[in-house]
Amino acid sequence: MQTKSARRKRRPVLAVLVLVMALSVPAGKDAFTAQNIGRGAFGDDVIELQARLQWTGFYDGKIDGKFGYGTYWALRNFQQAYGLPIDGVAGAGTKEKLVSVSKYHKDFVMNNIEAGKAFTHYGGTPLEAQVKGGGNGGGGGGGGGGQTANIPPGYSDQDIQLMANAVYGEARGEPYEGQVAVAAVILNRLEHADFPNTVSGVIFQPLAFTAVADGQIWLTPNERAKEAVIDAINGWDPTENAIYYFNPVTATSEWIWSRPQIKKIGQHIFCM
Amino acid sequence: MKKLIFVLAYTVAALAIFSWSANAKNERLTLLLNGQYTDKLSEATEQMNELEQEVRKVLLYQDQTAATEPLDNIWRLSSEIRNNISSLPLDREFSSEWMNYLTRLGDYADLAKTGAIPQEKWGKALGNAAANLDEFSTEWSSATKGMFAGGTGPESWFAQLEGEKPDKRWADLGQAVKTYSESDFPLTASEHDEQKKKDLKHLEDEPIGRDNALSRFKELFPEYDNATVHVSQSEPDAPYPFYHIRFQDGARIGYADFTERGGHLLSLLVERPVGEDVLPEADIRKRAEEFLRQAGYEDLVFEESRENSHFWHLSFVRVDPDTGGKVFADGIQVKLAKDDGEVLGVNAMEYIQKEKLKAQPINPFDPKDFFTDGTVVQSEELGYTANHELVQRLCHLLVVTKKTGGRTDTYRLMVDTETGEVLKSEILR
Repeated sequence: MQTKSARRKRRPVLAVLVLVMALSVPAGKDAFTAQNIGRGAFGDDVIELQARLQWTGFYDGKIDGKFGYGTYWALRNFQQAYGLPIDGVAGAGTKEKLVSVSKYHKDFVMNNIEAGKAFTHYGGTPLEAQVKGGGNGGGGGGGGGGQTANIPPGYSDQDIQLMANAVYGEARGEPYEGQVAVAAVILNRLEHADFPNTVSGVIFQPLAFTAVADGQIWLTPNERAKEAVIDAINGWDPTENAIYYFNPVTATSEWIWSRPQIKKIGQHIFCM
Repeated sequence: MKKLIFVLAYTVAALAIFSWSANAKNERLTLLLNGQYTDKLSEATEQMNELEQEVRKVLLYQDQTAATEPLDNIWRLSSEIRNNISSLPLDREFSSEWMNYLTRLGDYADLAKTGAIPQEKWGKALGNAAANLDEFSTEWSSATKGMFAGGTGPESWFAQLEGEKPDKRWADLGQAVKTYSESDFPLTASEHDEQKKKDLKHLEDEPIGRDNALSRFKELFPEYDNATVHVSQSEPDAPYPFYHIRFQDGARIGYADFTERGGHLLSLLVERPVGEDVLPEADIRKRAEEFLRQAGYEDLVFEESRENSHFWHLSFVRVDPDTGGKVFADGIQVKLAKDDGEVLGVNAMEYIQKEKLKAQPINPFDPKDFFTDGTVVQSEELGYTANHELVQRLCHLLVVTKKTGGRTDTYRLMVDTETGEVLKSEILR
């Protein structure tokens, strides 16, 4: 016969067991969407693909939801090993095979990505032993670090975050074109010999951006600001190569008026 | 009454404590910031003297190997001074010119180290730089003298930066550095070409009028035939004239820019809500290719695609008809909605003025002699990239894989078909 206090002591143990079991339940057969998944793809389907490829030992990279070359070669090797057409695209046949030979612990993977923990998802090793602790990712192998955006090489997630903050702080009331324009000015400065050569160096150059001076850069940016940054990084520049901009209503510096002007977007005049 | 007096006294006391505490905090922050600025300024001054010495040391050597260390130091110091200068609230014109000079000096040292610039040429340029840096450091000491004196707080730094007219000392210093840049490291012909390409100054097509710009817009994007449009022209000082068309069609709001000369599309971007439906990537790509064909861009091939939450960004590059090489500098990007594949963005700015490509020999290239064992060439084609002198060179464009420490890495390399020099190498993730 158990005493009340013994039962009470066991409750947390039971709760942990239930949690571990819940995390260990693999996702059902129809977990993938119907989409073909190829290089350049991004999102939950890619996370599942990478996790399943890792479970079967074909993928040793980060589980981050970005279908890059690491995922591509792993998928081709998987296709070759199972006698499937080798095209590096996860179509219906490949996905069916993957689902039949692997497991996908969706909650485990998603929770670790969400928490920014470094982890792996290999078959044959207890899941709890594959979490490497906190922090953003864990270098080679494993997942974590979250999935922020699928962008060209040369930019980090931190760059995207900082630029989105700057765009939101500087131009959240502006039309979309005006938000892409602010992001483009940051990128134009980055390439220009007259300015610092890092995103943070450009943004935090003293008095370069009003949002830094008045603290509005620390507001949480919305999806629109992030989209604007992604468009600018992908090459759009509505400013036609501007490196400065100002609001003519609030600008006090005589110097800024001396810059050759290019165009006006919303409240801002963009100039060289 | 007693209660009221008590509440009032309590409030006054609380406000006094709050105000005192806020002031103390502000004072601490001010002192901290002032300390940091002074530290950066002092560091920049020391590094500037070091830089001048390293430039002089380089001039000692005839031997390229002996000059390597001072050249490395010039590159490192110029980068460090740039970082310090960029974090100081100095006169904009001056800091821009000074950072420009340091970038050029650093790049020059880097190129000299790799042998990309003949010794005679860099010897002359760095000789001038040594003399100018000497003169500059005297002027710098005079301009910054007051900043090391006690009592110069951040307010005075910002005051001169925010002042309606720039401080004459700094304006003169900026002007002096500008002169040094122009004399010590003049732009090469290729750099001029590169800048002109960027500024679209080479365009020789006939100018089109406002109505023609609008017709061109409707011809390329017939779906906006009924949109409300507003056409404006670029400002008179813009480096190249263009038409700016803003439009609205229901939930779609966007812009399109066309060059005044020739009416070439620079870029288009549309914002609209995107639904939850997801079109397969293959269909998205087909839509993009169909759009490009209809728009008359017929010499492009698909290069890569990137999916994000609601959109796909696809990149296309021009193929040179003579060599079949991909000209990455002449690309077009297309943005499409994931829900129905509608084209929501086109960026053709780099495609308008095509690179001038020169004929170039293609020497035999054997990957077995070039790479270490275990390197697998996954694909090989031809492509163009710029060399150190910003001249487009035909290259073997190779995608190779190599397993290192249990991980397979993918590399993209561009090897000059004539010289065998690796002009570009990057790890593909």
